[in-house]
Amino acid sequence: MDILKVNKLEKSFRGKKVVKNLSFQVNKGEIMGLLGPNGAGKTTTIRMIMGIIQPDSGSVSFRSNGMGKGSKSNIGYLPEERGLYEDAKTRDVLEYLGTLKGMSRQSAREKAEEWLGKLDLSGHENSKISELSKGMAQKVQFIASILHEPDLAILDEPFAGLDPVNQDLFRGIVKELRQSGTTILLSSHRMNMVEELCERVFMIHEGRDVLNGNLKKIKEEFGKELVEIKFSGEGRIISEHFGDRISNLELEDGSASFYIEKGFSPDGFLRDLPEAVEVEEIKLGKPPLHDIFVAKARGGSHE
Amino acid sequence: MNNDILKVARWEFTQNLKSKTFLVLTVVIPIIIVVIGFVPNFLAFQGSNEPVTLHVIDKTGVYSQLEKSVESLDQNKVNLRLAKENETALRRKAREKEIDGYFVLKEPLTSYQQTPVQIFSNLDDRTPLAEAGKVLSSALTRLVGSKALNERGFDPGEIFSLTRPVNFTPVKLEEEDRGIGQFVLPFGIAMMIVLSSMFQGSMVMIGIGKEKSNRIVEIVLSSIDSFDMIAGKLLGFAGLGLAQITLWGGVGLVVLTQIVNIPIGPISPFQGFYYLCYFVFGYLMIASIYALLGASAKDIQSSSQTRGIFVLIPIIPIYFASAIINSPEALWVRLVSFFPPFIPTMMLMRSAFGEVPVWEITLSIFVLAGFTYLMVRAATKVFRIGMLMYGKDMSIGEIIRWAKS
Repeated sequence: MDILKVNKLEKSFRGKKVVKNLSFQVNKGEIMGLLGPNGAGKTTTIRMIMGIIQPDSGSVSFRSNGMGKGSKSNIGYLPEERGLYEDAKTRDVLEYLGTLKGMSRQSAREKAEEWLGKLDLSGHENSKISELSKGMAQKVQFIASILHEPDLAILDEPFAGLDPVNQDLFRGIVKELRQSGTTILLSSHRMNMVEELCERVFMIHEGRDVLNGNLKKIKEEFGKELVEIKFSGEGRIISEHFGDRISNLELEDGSASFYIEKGFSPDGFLRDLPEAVEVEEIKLGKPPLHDIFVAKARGGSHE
Repeated sequence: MNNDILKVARWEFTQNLKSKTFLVLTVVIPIIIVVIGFVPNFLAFQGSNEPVTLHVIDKTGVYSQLEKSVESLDQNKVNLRLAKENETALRRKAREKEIDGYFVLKEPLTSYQQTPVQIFSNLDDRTPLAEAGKVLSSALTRLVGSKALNERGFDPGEIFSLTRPVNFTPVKLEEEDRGIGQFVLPFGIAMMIVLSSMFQGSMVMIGIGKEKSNRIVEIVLSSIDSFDMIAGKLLGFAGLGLAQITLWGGVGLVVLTQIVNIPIGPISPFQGFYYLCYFVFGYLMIASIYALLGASAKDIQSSSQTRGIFVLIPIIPIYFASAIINSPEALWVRLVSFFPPFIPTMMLMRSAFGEVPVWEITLSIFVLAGFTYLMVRAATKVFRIGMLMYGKDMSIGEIIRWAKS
């Protein structure tokens, strides 16, 4: 069952169409990845979903209703651009942003303190935002987006600028939120994070939908198997022997990785391997999302 | 009123009330204005009250008559001493500031009707000397006339009473009834409205510029409507303006009534009503203009650089102040006072120094309210677009297009 439905959204700026007939849905309880290279139209799409800017045409519905005040109160939003009231105290900022989402001041304050403790920010309640480190301020902004326990959280690049420790922390919290029933629309360039967290992805390029669906299925449909081998012998023979039946060959001393193209099975590869190359170790797998992302962003050159 | 508007207003009010900027604008800058604007005048006024003592080298024998004539003028500007030293000694003493100054009287006295009497002095402040000069001029003129009449056989006593100087002093008819307190209040309110609107408007503009730069605006707009956001801001800063004016007004009233002893006349309900209208609409109009400028500029620096000229709009009428004081009913003053951005200041200044017909006040309030409504609407529309337009100033054409959309 969908919680958010985007239907034929279009938006132009100064005569240039930046979002072209986009339609997708986010299902209740899932983590969905919104992918696309820089300038693809992700942030514009998210801003239209949040009602910050109006689409030229198309519609957005939340639980089958329009995006009114009631809907906005049930959605949490972490923008890509980070910013808070620099001169205000951490607790005051969270309390204010919580009340704008419909919370009472008392409950916003209590929840803020609970989350500050959870994210190792206890003792900073009365610190001004300008006194916090960049990572701390980012945590505060993250708290602001989920303080009101929204049904849907839209997180635009939540891992950007975080150190590895905090990335793990945020990743854990995103999983926790999902377990507690929050649906998440995650926009990120960090493909490993998207692969780990998302069941479904929606990818846009130049404002257009280029990939949409279940991540596992997308990988299968990409139609290539990733082969990583360790060998002894003449590596260049692999390229000469297999020609266009393999692609993206990356050859190093004693190891290689490449895709085997559609219609050519891993079994066939092993059977046809020249004797001059002796395989010591072989690993087969689905292509990483990163490669699918790059291939799609480059206009589907691997297809 | 919409709950979200009140939430934003409360936030803006409480956060900015505690800010250093508000403290500076409310306390420090008014003190500086008072010090720069009034202290020199006060000192000059104080200085001019001190009489100067001038030594007279008399080569005519009229010194005693001159002294008598000066005393008869009932003034406190100059004291005379008959010089006992020669001119060289007096000149040295004057140069060293041991004496205030001296002058020489030579025959014939009538020659001074063509050439002035020179007062030699090294005092830095020329005002008391000029005041003394006026007194001596009257006294000497009287003396010359008396001498001429005496030569024609008039009785000295009769001459003295006949040549008593006639003085003119300006008295404005309305002031007989109104008193100084009557124009201090509207003039003070006009000044407070201008200053407070400018200060609050600047804070709105800077606040919007900051929120645009650090993109917090996206979080707020993802929760509430853009109209509620700007309306809440304007309301919050109106509260700050009111707090500021109440503080200034309170301090001003105490100073005027308790320290300077200027009685403040009672305010009629109609006066109270139109003061309030001019404040509310005047503030909203100016704050909307500033909000529009802040939202349409790329960042804070840009808003203060490229939009600086518009910031001066509310203070322009102050440049007309002397003209308004001299002729508050002049046609051009009446016409300019209906130009919407100038209405609050101009009308309050006119009402301070003259009688403004009720119909003009009523009409001006309607014009101001209408213009304010248009400005709030335009600011809301430009705000909605401009707040998300990053990295570029809106052109005038774009501002007009979005404002009209």
